Amino acid sequence: MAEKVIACVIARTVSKRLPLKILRAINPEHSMIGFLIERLKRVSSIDDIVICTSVESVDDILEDVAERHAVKIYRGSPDNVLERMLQVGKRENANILLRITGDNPFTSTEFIDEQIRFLRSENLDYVRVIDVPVGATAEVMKYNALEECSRSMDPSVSEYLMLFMFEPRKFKCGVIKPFPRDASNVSITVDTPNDLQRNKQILSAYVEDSLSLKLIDILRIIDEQDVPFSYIKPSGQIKLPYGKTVDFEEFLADMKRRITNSTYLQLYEN
Amino acid sequence: MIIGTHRDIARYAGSIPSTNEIEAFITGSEMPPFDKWVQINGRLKVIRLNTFNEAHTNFEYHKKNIDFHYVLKGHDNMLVAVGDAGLDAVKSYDSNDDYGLFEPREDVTIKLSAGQWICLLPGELHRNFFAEPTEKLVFKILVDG
Repeated sequence: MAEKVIACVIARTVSKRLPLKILRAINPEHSMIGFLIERLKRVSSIDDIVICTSVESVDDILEDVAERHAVKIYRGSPDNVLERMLQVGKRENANILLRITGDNPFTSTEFIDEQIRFLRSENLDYVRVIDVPVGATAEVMKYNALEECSRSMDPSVSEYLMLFMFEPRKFKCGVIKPFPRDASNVSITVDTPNDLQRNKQILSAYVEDSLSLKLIDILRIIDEQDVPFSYIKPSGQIKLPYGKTVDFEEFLADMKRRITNSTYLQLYEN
Repeated sequence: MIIGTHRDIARYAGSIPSTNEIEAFITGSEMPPFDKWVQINGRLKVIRLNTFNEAHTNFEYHKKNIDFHYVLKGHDNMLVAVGDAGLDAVKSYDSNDDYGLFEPREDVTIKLSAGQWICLLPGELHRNFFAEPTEKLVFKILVDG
């Protein structure tokens, strides 16, 4: 029987720095979350898309978003992302889960089929794309591996799931490098008004069908137009569980350790 | 900005303040006179506008209020700035009026028909262009102050 692949779109309307950010329009046709969902619908390996949100009334509107875009919705713990994903995996009888957050409308959907194929062919637990901007990679993982991770993980820090799943000491991890350039100092995630402005500018500069926007186009537009707020300062702080922070450079060094110990796939020729 | 239709308004009750009151006002009340603010409650007021062939050049913004524009007749072209980085203020922000103006810049145009609305959150730069007789309600939702 074919393995079932479910894309979990982790989304809440609450945000301290940019309230209602996922509902905000990124262009005249799409809200941030709508744009993301419509792009995910174009990925052939995904069987179903589920918005994973909370039971709180502030997230009621996501029922409407799910209805409008004809996708499923699961409403669970406000703070425990892990619980929401596990419940969705269980209900949907999923073998493979994708974790995509609603504040990453430019998630590189063009690599998802390859991520899933790589996970299957190498029998991996977890696959991500590397040397790409913050907010670009979807995380692909086996449901069983996520379940195992949940047994040793504090659910209060499940927002930082990547740090626990992308851990080659515990899981069989795989990384895909899509092009020679290292663009890990670029950000395309949306946390602040400036981030939203940056993504709107990128999208307005893309003249083709907006839903077909690829990472290579994003990087080209950032370079050509010198789009503000696109680069992370080396001294920038990265948030870690339990209120800790770390310099971006230190964070990259730790990521390098994880990458070095993962199964590697390169999508280009040297 | 958030865009929606009449049927959506109440669904935002948990996330945008006063949407229940706005929905009730639109469906239940007699329309207010033109060009006069009507205070619905301590945090919500509305004005009914009838405009044609009017274009605002500069972008306005607010810090304390959400603007909720609901089109009753015709079409409302709402122009929303892509961002405000590096823009010069034409009129510095006045906290009493909750109003400031920025110079024109690149924007996107949202064309709204009757029954559609746009919600502009604090800090979002916007201006109008009316190409035909248009009637609309503008609600101001006080969120800070």
